[in-house]
Amino acid sequence: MARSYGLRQWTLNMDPRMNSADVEASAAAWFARRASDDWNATDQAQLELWLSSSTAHRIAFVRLTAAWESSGRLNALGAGVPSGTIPPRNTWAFGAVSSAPAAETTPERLQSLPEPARPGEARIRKSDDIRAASRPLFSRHRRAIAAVLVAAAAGSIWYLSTAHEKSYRTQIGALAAVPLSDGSKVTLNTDSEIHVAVTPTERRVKLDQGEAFFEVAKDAARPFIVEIADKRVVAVGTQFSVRRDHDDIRVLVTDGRVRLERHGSSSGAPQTQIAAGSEARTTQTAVLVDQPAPAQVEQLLSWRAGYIIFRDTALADAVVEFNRYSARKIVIADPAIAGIRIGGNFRSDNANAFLWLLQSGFPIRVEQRSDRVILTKR
Amino acid sequence: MLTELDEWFATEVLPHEGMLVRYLNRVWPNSAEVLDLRQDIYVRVYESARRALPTSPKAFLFATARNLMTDRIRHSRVVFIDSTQDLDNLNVLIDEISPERRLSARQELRILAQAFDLLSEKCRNVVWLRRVEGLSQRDTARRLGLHEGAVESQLARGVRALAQAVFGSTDGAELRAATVDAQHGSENE
Repeated sequence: MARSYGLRQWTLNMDPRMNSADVEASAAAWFARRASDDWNATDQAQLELWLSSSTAHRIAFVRLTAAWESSGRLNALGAGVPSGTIPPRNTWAFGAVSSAPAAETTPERLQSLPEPARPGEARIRKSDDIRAASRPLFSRHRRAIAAVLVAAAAGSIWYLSTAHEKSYRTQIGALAAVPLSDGSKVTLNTDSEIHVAVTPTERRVKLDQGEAFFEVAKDAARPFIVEIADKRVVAVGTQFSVRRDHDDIRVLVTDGRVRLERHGSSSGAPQTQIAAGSEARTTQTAVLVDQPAPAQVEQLLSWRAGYIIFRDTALADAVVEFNRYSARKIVIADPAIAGIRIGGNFRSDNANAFLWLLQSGFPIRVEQRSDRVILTKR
Repeated sequence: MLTELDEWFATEVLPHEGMLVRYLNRVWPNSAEVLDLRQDIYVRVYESARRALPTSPKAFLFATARNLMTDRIRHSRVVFIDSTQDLDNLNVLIDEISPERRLSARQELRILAQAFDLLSEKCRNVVWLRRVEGLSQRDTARRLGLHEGAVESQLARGVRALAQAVFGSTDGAELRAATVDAQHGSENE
């Protein structure tokens, strides 16, 4: 049965677009079959044919064969084990198991400064500390997220005596996940700052600058309010992002519904309901509500995964977007290139890839200076 | 049945696999494509070595990786990559790491033993009996009460996992981790 398996795989792999996993599986099937007891000259000839039909086959087979030879070292583990017994797992002590590569995929971590504990919170606070201490403060990830958390003094501009406020700020190019005590989660984009106050009656976030995505835990008794200059976005349990550019905001709702209102407005003041799938943009005098296509929503929220997505975007706009993530700003010195349309996905923390592609794919010259990057027509 | 070129490839190119894959994961945005990229890079290196062996296999491997990625980007309309800076860093790295760092026998054994312990029960038993005890497929099947076909497919599975351990972790982060642990371990002994 195993025999036909190998051949079937082989037929599949005649496809010029060879899938490496399939090739490896075939190579492994051949390898194991060759080690079987009834390997004969015909089998050998077939294997030779398979190997010579593509370099990828040959390499996969060489790789497995060489690995098997190296694994002869396992014989050293057999020393002292009576023949015929298979030692149980973890028989051999080599020190702690390290799993360094796992750090590659771990989410961003935050470093938190201790804050004065309220009496009732002492126990919880303590266990939080223990959990924090058992984690590395900064991930070994080379794109380590530099997020700074500042614990504000108790007593805030909102709640003078009862509530305490916490402030979170990300540096340029950073991204941070901020869990709130009510179970909600905030993701902060680059160069952003929020102040959070969670009280028994209300959850209040002030977005001082930048952009944030809110996943609001359902709690009908405590509205979740995001304040931006003179505007407020009110939600109960929903998901939405808010981006602030000076005093104008863009609110994109991905789940549930939020209410946008002018701060301080009473029932007579204008309110805008924004439903899931809608985006609202404010100007000084108006609110424009739009329903972006799903691809556009993805584009608008791609920052949470560390990407910037451009679709037929003018170079000038793309540069503005990249500059949000880097202290060293890109400057377009020649208006002739500002309108070039570009598309693609980029890591927000790597403007160099973007610049490199501009240089190699477009008539653009990139001049790197210590304090900025200048783009000119080539 | 391995040729001289095969042996060269196994000893000079494959040991850099761990670093190569980590590098590809870092600069190539679609991680689902990394193993296919690795395959194509190996093919290019092998075919080029067939004409003339490169003097510095490691530098050649990474140069090939970079060229291949550049070609892919040029051929696709989707503009899509992480960094040129990484490529530059990598060049520095290649210059610095010479002579090659190799794992000590003890580190190698440790990595193997870990990979071995991570195999499924059936697969682990098959690998032990075939590799360490040197039993034939038939005897292994009898001992474990399995069909020969099952032994064969478990062996196929096992060799893939071991190859991943042997070549996937021979330098870079794991080497450092292995070194630290080895030192740590010797203090405890």
